[in-house]
Order: sequence, then C-alpha cells, then structure tokens
Amino acid sequence: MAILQTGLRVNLRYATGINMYKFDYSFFLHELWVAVTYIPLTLKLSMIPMVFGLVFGTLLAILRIQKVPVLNTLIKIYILIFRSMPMVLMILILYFSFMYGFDTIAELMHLKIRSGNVPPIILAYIILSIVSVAFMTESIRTALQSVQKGQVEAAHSIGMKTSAIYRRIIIPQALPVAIPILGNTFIGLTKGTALVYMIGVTDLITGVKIEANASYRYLEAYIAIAVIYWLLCIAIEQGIRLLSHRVNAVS
Amino acid sequence: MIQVRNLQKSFGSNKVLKGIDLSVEEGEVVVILGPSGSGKTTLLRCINFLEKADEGEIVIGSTQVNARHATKRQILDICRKTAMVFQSFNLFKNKTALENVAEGPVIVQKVEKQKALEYGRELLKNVGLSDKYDAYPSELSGGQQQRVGIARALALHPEVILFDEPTSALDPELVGEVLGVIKKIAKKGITMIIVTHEMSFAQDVANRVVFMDEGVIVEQGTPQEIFLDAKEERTKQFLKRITPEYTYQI
Repeated sequence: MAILQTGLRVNLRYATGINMYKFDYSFFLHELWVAVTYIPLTLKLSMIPMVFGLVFGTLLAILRIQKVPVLNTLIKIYILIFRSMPMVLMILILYFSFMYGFDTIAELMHLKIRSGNVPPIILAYIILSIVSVAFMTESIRTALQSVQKGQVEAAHSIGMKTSAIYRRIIIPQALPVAIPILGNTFIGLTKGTALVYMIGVTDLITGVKIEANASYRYLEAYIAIAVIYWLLCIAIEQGIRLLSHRVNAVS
Repeated sequence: MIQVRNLQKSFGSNKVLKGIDLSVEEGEVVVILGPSGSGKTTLLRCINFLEKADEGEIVIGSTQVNARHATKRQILDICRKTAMVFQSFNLFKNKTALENVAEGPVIVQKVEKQKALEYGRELLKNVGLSDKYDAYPSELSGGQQQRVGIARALALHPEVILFDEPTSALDPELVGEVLGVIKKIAKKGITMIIVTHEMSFAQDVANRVVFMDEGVIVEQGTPQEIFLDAKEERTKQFLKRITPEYTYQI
C-alpha cells in the first residue's frame, strides 16, 4: 500500500509537469557525507589491484620483452582476453567462473566451505587485480620498450647482467614514460571499482543509493557520488603530476 | 691474444660475414676499413656478442667461445673482457658523466664506490672533461659525450676496446677532439680494434690496417702497405674513391 502510494505520488508529479523538481540540498549534503565514508573502501579497491598490477605487470612485461617461450604466448592470450572485453563482462565472467570452480574444487576435496562463504570483497580484490595486471602489463611493456636499444647494448657491452640492466638502466629510464600512462590506468581502475556492486559488494554507489531508496532523491545521491569520483580523480591526477615532476627532475 | 676464427653471420638471407679470421696481438691497434655494408660493424658486434654469430670461434685471453654453442656465462665473460665505444655514444641517459664512467667498475667489477668515482674523475680529466663530472649526457656536445664513452670503456681495464665508427655521428669540428683522445690512449699500449672512415687518422694510429669487403677480409698489412702499396684491386679502388687526396700527397 505504501509503495503504491509513493509510486502514485511520483507519477503524478511527472504527469502534471507543474510540480518542479526541487533539489534537496540538505539531503545532498547528507549523501555527500555518506559518500565520504566510502572513500577508504574505494581507494582500497583501486590501490590493492594497482599494487598487484605494478608488481606482476612489470614481471609479465619483462617476460614478454625477453620473449620467454610458452609463457610469452600465454601472457599474450591473457592480455588479449582481458583487454578486449568490457569491464562489466570481465567481472561477471570471473565472478561466476570463480564461484563454480570454487564449489567444484571444494566438493572434490570434501570441504564444507562453499563459495557463498567467501566474502564478496575478497573476490572483488582478486577480480580487479586480475584485470589490473592485464592492463598494466601492456602499459609497462610500452614504457620499457621506449628505452633506446643503444642503452641496453651499452650496458651489455660493459658486462652488466640482464637483471642489473633492468634495475639500473631500463626501469629508471622507463619511469618518466610510464608514470602518466600508469596514472591513466589507475584512474580507469578507480572508476572501474564502481562495478563491484554487481558481485554484491556494498561500495560507494550502492552504499549511497541505499540511503536514497527511502526518499527517491536519486539525483542528489548520484551527484554526491559523482562529486566524490571527481575529487578522487583530481587528487590522483595531481599526485601523478607531482610524481612526474619529481622523476623528471631526477633524470 | 684475441682471435676470431671462421666467423660467419647472416641476417635473413643476407650473408654479412663469410668466414672471418683475424688475430690481434696485445697492445696492437687494428683499424678496419671497408665500404659500408662490408660487415665491419657486424664483425665488431659479433666479437662482444651484441650480435650472435652463426658460426665460428672467438678467443679473448683465456676465454674461448664457440659462437654457435655460447652459454650465457661465456657471453658475459666475453663482455667483461671487452668494452665498446659506440657510433651514437649510448651514454646512460639517467646518469651523469661520472656515474657513466663508474657504473661498470661498481656494478660489474664490484670496485668500492669511492675508489671508482675517484678513478672516474681521473679518467674524465684525461679526456679533457674535468669540468663536466656532474653533467648529464643531454647537457654535453657530441664530442664530449664520445669522450665520456671512451672514459667509460677505459674504466673497465678491458683486454680490448672496440671502436665502432666513433666519429661518424659527430659534427666535423668535433671529430678532432675525439680522434685526439683515441690517439693518446693508443700510445698507452691498449689493444684496440677500430672501425673508421677517417683515413689519415687510420694511417696515424694503426699498427695494422684490415680491409674488408662483402663479408671477407680482402687484405691486411701495415698502414704503409695498405695505403701506398695495396695488392688487391678492390682495396685500390676503395682507397681511390675515399681518399683522392692521397694521390696528391705522395
């Protein structure tokens, strides 16, 4: 009954067109505050995969450049699969394959635990990390390969080992190139975290939306969320700029 | 001392080296001449394994390597007994002149950092760059960069220094300073193999001149023998083309 009534009220308002939508500033501020409390979660959801992406992305990029047989092909396929698919699909496919795979394995091993017992946030970290590694590998490979061949030859000619060449010559020279590219990837990841609601994580969007369910003030809620994403992205961009200046000043 | 035996190398279907035999004595300065595309640079790059030869043997001091079966360890060994001065300098862009020179000793030879830096300063002073220790390569002229490159090679005390057209990328007015430095170190009895197009320099600095064409050594001998009294028709033609002034000087 209550639902019917509110539904009717909303319908009436749009039907008559006379009743102008009044932006509810106090509710907006309230939602903004709710949104602020979700910033740490959003940052965690983007930064943990980012760190994984940096570490494993560098590793995979080096394996790609060194053309390690078999592995090189596997990595290529992995990147091809994950980079040429909408992120929503990636998240859903990974989620369901994980769930089914987990249950099958658990059953085979006669374990009591089931996929339903795994907190969705853990899954979100894993899935976003897999996606992030795929994106980062290609960015990092591009940056590493921007270092001139002559630099590597010179390092070989003085007898440096490959590991030392990466550590002392290639990576320091690739950094100024890599930082802006990786920064963009990071921003993309941050925005991508919005999709984790699909696998049942209460994140910035869902958390704020829940509050709006009662009053139907969705516009206020969504703008509050947008403001937070704006602020986050501006902050990240500034951070990258600072880092870029730092690295450029050093090299 | 340094021996190259039956070295062969192809890029695709193009055979660049067709069986090179060359031996260089300790302290000898060997200049390799030849038209472009004759395989001079490839020969140098195969000696220190920047290119892997298809066939042949390379002996440097106590290290003997079969190109076809070279292991990583052997290649590293060869690299550590040689040093190279590149046509395009290839100084490490992220390091200062002094750091460039000290990099090899510190990282490869595990020399104490202070000692390596001190020795690096001495070497830079010897090549006339005592005021450029802390300059990055981008702040140096081509001639200065190449002199740092030479100091970097010297810092390793290699058994041989390979010069790959060290002045070809320089503006004409900067060639002199680099050749001057090379002449100076040649007098110190350091073994060198030099690929160059500077004929009068070659005549000046070389103990032996090797003329290469189309992947083979056509002729070799003292500078006098090659420049004034070449036996082979191909050598004569090349010299005639590249140094007309010699016909007048004689």
